Amino acid sequence: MRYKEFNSNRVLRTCLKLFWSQGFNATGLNQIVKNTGVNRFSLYAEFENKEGLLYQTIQFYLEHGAYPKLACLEEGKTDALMDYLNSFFEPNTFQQEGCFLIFIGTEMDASNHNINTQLKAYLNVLHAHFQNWAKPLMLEKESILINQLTSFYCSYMTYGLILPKVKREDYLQKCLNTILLNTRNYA
Amino acid sequence: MPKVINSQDPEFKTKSMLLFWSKGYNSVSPEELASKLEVSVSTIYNKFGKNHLFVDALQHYVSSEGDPTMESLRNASDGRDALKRIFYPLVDVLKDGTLPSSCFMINTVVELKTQMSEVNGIYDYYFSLLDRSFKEVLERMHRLGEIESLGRIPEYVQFLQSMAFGLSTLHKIKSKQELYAHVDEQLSLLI
Repeated sequence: MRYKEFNSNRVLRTCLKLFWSQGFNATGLNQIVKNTGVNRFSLYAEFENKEGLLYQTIQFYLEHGAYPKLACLEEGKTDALMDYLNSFFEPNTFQQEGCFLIFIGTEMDASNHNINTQLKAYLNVLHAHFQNWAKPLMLEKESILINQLTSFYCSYMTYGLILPKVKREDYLQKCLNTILLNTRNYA
Repeated sequence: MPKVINSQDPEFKTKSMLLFWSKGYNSVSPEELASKLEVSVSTIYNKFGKNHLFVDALQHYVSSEGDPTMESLRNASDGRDALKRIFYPLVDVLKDGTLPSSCFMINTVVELKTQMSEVNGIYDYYFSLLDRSFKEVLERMHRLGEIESLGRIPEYVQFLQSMAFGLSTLHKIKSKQELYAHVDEQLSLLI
């Protein structure tokens, strides 16, 4: 058995930082080699190519960045929902704000099937968690609320990036108010 | 005689806009810019500068795409239907792939955030233009009896703002029909 001389998670963490700070297309393999200290042959052997690295980086982000946040999404509580959404803007080890999936989904071409599949799977997971969150509200039009929350998630992870904290939180408050209050009164 | 290049020439601006729109800022090299704009690489470095060209391109996007759309919204005489006439075509162009990429402004927000100070001024202009236009149409909706409360208009302005941002991601995973239904659902929340 060939001894693997590098730690995949350490490589993926470095790739996440590079892709997220400058984009996938602007990140060259040379830069990945330089920053990870792993030569290109070993990288190819493990991840196939730069796209392969990206797909594994997304998985790494989901496991270490996005999914653990879902734990705070306590059912039925508006504060918990707001804390969850705001947690994407708190200082973190990746030194980036927002959601990497939405970031990479925005950069990559709409026809990139692999990225769309990952994006869809992620938004389906969110959808299921929002559904769970909304259960205690016992809404007649629950599906509308869930769709709106998923859509708002996408918008908060993009527009939120350029708003100063106070304005961002005001934006969150106002949009959630429309979504939560008006789906309740939806005829 | 050498060709005199004017970066304010509309054709030049359009070419540069289409390039940055499809590829973003970071992944466009000076060499590629030079080739698309039919100038030398040294002209890019010495005369224009990539930052400057990018800012002009984004500005050109605002005046050629954003301004006319918002003007038509403000000049309309109806309310909810006028909003549909903005959001349905947005779904169409996003789904038909007729644009170089999704909204150039939103791509820039996600890629550059607030890192380039010259771009921040364009954000301010663009998003306050959207705010102002949405506010006008919401006030009209109130006069037409389509929404009840004047007091909730500032909240609805933000909600409309969020719709465009949401679509720029959702179009990648939903069909056109699903997106039309989604827009209808969102607009019907304005009560």
